[in-house]
Amino acid sequence: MSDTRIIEVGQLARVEGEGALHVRLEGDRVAELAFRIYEAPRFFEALLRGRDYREAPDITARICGICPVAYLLGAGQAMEALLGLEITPEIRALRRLIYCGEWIQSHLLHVFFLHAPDFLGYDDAIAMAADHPQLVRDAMALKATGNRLLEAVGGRAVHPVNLRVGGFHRAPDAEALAALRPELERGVEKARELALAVAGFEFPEVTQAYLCVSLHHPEEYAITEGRIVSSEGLEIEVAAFEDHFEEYQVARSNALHARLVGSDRPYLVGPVARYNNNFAQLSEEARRLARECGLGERVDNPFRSIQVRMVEVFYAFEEALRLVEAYRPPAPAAVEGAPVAGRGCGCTEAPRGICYHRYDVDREGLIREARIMPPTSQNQRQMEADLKRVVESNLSLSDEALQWRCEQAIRNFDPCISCATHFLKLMVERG
Amino acid sequence: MQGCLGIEENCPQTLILGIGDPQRGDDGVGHAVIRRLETQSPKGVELQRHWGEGTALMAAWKGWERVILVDAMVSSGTPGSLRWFEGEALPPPGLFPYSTHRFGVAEALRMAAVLGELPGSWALLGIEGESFQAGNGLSPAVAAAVERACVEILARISTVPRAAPRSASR
Repeated sequence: MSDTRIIEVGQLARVEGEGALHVRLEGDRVAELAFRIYEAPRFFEALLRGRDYREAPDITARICGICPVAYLLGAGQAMEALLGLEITPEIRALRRLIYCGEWIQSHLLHVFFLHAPDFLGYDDAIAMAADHPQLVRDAMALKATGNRLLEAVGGRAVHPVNLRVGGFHRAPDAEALAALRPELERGVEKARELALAVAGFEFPEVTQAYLCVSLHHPEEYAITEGRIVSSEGLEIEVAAFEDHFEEYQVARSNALHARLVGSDRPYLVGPVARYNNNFAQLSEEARRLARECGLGERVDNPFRSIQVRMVEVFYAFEEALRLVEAYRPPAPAAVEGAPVAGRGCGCTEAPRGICYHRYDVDREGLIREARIMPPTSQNQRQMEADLKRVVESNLSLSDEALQWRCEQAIRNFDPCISCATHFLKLMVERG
Repeated sequence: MQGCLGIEENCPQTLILGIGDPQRGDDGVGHAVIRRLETQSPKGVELQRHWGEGTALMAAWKGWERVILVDAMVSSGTPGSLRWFEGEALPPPGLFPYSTHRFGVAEALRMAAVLGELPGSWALLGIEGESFQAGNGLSPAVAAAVERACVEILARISTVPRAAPRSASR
């Protein structure tokens, strides 16, 4: 056996992202590992300059078809912070409701159409559907309910049009929301069944000591707002995010990486980080389901992230049902304000983790500078750390099996590049 | 179109889905075709823009007996060239890679075939793209193909016999 093994991953051609993975092994040691992705938001930051502050939600929502609400709300709330707007409890509840729809549809797409085939040994979801048609049909039906929630509140499922700075253009029809109740009730039950089905998968044994970063809200499992906390005691206002977290260039990659200021440690955002930081705030039923699925109060195996997503799907259905039952149309549908010069920051829990926005606006209400830190770029270093761990603990695997495991590990993060099935082209060189 | 029983004279028989993302250069060609068709108001047709996520596509065509899909294609062909897929000829994966999260139109058709959920009559028109750069419009060759695509689509609608009335459930 030679000493040096090089794993080279070619261009990952996609719209959401392009990326590459390079691994150099020396004996049993990973001498170098670089994972690179293309980041679409950079283009949007430039596009936002000179635009009216009220346009930021709709422009940034175009960044991602999977999680437009994260951008609509992140930008909207940043502007509200700048203008000093206090939104009403009704608007707040409605935002949480539409965000549940986004979590539901995004998580289910990832779990059953992209990630589950890795666990069940299929090349893709189509091959999986041939053997497990009902699993796929159930997942599609549940996901469709998430889309209908987005439509009922947001006006349409993709790039919802009803959200704005200060609230909503119009209050959703109470009857239209009430009509979703039976479907949401079924959704709660079906989500439980699917979570238990996923719990039957086999999970590779890998553990990581994650530094988990998420929002935390005193009264609820944080989705739309809260303070930024870490699993090691950090607790800050959203506006202080850039005092504690920074992006930096690395020589071997064009993409920006993120780290805690004054530390070189990677950190984790997303479902596992939320779950670990806020487990006690899940509903009693969701916590019981987590235990039935074999999860503890803290998850440190990245391959179990797929299970955490399913617990969150269940919880999102419960929350959506509760919010629909308690729905009172906000009147007025939006809180109005006038532009002031200054800086506004916003942050929400996108399906993939915290998505931070910062805008500098002049007194005419025009955006001077925009900064967006999406969850996938924040997770990039942690992805590298996980890949290093996975490669080191699986050196005995064949190249083909190792490639499979690496792809599966990348998809633990549900990154935008997870899109491609079997996107890694593995090349091994023995010197 | 909910509640349409398929027996009224003006009830659309065919769903045309223009797929893609107008913010991504030639990926916007599916929407451009829909925009062009809207100016011609063809009878018996429902026109919809779609972003191309596969499971949502399957939900969009559910209940429609006749469906025509239009999307940008990447097959190393001449930019702007047209290619039809239909019936047994499912598009190979990878020809339509510009769909969010790679569960795109080709995957949706293949998944529907596996689950027995293909529309009774379906056709996919691929338009070869050239550039998918964020923020750009259509490249000239692809923009020039929009009119030809519309002509082919309308010819196809007029020659294919009307499908049997659809059920009311959609």
